[in-house]
Amino acid sequence: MHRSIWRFLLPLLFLLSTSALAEAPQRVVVLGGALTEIAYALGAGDRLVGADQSSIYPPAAHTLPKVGYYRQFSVEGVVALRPDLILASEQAGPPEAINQLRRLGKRVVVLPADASLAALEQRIYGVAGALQLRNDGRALVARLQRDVAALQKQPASKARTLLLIQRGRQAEGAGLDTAAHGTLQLAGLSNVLAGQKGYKPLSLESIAALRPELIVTSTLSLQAAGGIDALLAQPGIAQTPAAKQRRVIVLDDLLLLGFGPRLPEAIAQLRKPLGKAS
Amino acid sequence: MSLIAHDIHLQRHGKIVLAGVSCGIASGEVLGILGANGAGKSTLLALLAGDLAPQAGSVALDGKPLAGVDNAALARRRAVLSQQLGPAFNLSVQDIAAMGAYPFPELAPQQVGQVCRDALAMAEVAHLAQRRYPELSGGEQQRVQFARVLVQALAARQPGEARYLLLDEPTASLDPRHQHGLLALAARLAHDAGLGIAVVLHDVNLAACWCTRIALLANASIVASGTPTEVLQAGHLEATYRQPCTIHPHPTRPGRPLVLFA
Amino acid sequence: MPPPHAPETGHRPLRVLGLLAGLLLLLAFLSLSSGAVGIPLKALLQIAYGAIPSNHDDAQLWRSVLLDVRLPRVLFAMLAGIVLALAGALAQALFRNPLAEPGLVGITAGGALGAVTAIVLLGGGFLLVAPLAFAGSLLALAAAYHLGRHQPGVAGLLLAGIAVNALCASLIGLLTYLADDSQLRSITFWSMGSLANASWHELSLLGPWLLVLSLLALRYWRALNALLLGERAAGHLGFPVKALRRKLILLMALMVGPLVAATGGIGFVGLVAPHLVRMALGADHRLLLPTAALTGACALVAADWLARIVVMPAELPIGIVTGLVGGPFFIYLLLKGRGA
Repeated sequence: MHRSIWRFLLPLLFLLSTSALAEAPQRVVVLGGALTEIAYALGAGDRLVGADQSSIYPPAAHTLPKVGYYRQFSVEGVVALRPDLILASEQAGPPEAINQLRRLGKRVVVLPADASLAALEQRIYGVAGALQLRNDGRALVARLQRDVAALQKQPASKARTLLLIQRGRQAEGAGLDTAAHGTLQLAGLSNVLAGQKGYKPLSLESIAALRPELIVTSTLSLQAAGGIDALLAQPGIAQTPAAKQRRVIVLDDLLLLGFGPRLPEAIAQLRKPLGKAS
Repeated sequence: MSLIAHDIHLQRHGKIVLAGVSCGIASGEVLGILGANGAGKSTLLALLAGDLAPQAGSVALDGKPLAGVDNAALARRRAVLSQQLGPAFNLSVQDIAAMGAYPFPELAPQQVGQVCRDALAMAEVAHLAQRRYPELSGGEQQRVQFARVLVQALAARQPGEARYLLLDEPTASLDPRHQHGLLALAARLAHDAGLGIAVVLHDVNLAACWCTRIALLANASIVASGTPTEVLQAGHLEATYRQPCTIHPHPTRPGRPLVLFA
Repeated sequence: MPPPHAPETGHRPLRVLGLLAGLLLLLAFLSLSSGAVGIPLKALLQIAYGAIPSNHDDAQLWRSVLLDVRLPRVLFAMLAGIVLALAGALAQALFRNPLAEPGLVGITAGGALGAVTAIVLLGGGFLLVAPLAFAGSLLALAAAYHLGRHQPGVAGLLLAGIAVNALCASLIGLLTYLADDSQLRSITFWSMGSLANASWHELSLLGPWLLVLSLLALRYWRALNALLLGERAAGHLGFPVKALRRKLILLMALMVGPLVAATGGIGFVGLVAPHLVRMALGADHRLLLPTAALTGACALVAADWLARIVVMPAELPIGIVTGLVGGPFFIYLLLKGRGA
């Protein structure tokens, strides 16, 4: 008697579970740190089974198996995680590797990588749609728009700002077409290096001439520079108003450069009234 | 059947190297080319080899201008042993000798092997056949290179075909026994196999002993040319080398002169 | 110390070639059987014999991974190894220098310049990067060749090659300066070399071309041996030296150019494989060319295998592996050679 009921129920349960599987992907691999952050923001972190090496936020992402850097990920490494969905930044590649994933029957969703508010919204919609979390996506975008709009209503300082990134020995300044520049603009700050494109090694002499009133940098950059005092003591920087008044804002790397869902937080920190850094 | 340079004029870097030089080798003879340093001996040999084209005059192989003969066909008729050879690459003596047979792709490997064995034996390096070239002494290397050009001069000869051998200071790093051995072999091959041989030498007495003819070069032209006795006279030699000398009959080789520079 | 000599030299070459071919098959098998996706040996063999292991859910996945991901990659690694080693051997004979490689005449730097131009100025994409890299190789080579023509022998070509290399390097530096962050990343990955682009499609495009040219290169063994004696002596042996030089350089470019375009710069194999064979077996190109080709194939298959398994499930750029393994090994060879 009982056995016959189970014989009927088990396939039914199985059917339900597989149909649920077909609806919402349960094993997701993400190629691109900004997308990983969105997936976590949508509360889908538990569905991720792998990510690339640029996925460093939130801390939970550190525990995911890594399939290489997203521009040169390992096809087999991704396949081995048996994903039913792959979320890829449009910069993920090489292109042949994306094609190979598709040929292997994997569902790959490619999302824009631009550092603009519109692209960020598209990224969120795309990730949410692929994860079957459309409503959460809409809510996240709405919150984002509301927060950004609210922040922008506050008076902007328009302070002359130097955005400094240091990865190796040489400090670089961020110009146009960088995620950092986008964040600065939304924060109502004026980038002193708006005359250049991309990240370029700093010309200390021209920094002195540009007289920035504020220096924005990232945690890792400050480490590479040897701490805030070493940074401000550099010739060229030392003479700037920013250095003299120790006006420095330090943000977490992905917060400053990632253009992810924490954008309002980044803007809020950058909009804090200019005061002396501790 | 001959390899003849006629009325050659050649200037290099604004300097006249050869002016109106005529000189040739026929099948069966050994021509010694003598002269002071910088007299143009090697240049003359390079002209005969077809490496250089004269600015005026002509070089002809069996009556055909050398300029019209392509490299591959020329290699089947004449072999050249140059002074400077490439750095010692890790090849076996056997490999180097076998290169002499490259112009004759029609030969089967066994035939090539036979010619190489003969040539290595003639050049007295048969015992080195399995050794690596860079391990050899300078003299041994020179004899191995000589064996290579012997292979080229002797492989796949057709009846009635004359072959020419051009040697630029082949005895430079050899001991006296091997110097004489090499030139004796050249004389024998000219006589027995009908090779036409031109050899640039510094040792006047070596040339006196083994050459059928000698050409003496000085000041871009030929001072004297003919049999050793005709050419090796005090006047000619002093004009060439600017060194006083006396001529004596060779004590052991009748009919050959012996030159003593003082 | 003189290398040991087998009493009968006739069989030794065949034995060496057989041994290397065996090693290559072994390495290929190792590479095929390991990777991020664990495939049981039994299933591997079943797939190899054309059967689909039906009794497992993952059978289809295994089959695709093996046949569509690993196999083209292993084959491409072999092909790239063969081409790099042969081109290296050609360059070393042509320049009569055991440390020469095709890069000396600007082929690699030109390819890199083409690729970087495509990435920075034209927006990148494999369809742009590969043809521009190939065009860059040929252009740099043509420039070096024409500049060097006025000097006798290979010395002029070599000097012109140095000049072209320097110019390409500076232009790459300039473009790197202009590049934005993401372009920089692309450039870095391209310059470190990778076989990640290997697919049946790419193999079908490049495979026949590279194989035919490789076979053609093998036929030049006599000329290459003769060049070891010097260009004049080679001429005396009947080789039209100028035309020969032109042909060999063109052959090198036609082999390495497309490869650089497809894989980026993979260092050391072209330098070390022929050098190693020459030290072990001698410089006779009849044996050197096929042996170096097989050695190069073994080296790249092994390097790719390492690149794929060391940081699994991620992978390293193969150029890093060849450099990390090849560099110290080469230094060891040089030190050993000096001591002898």
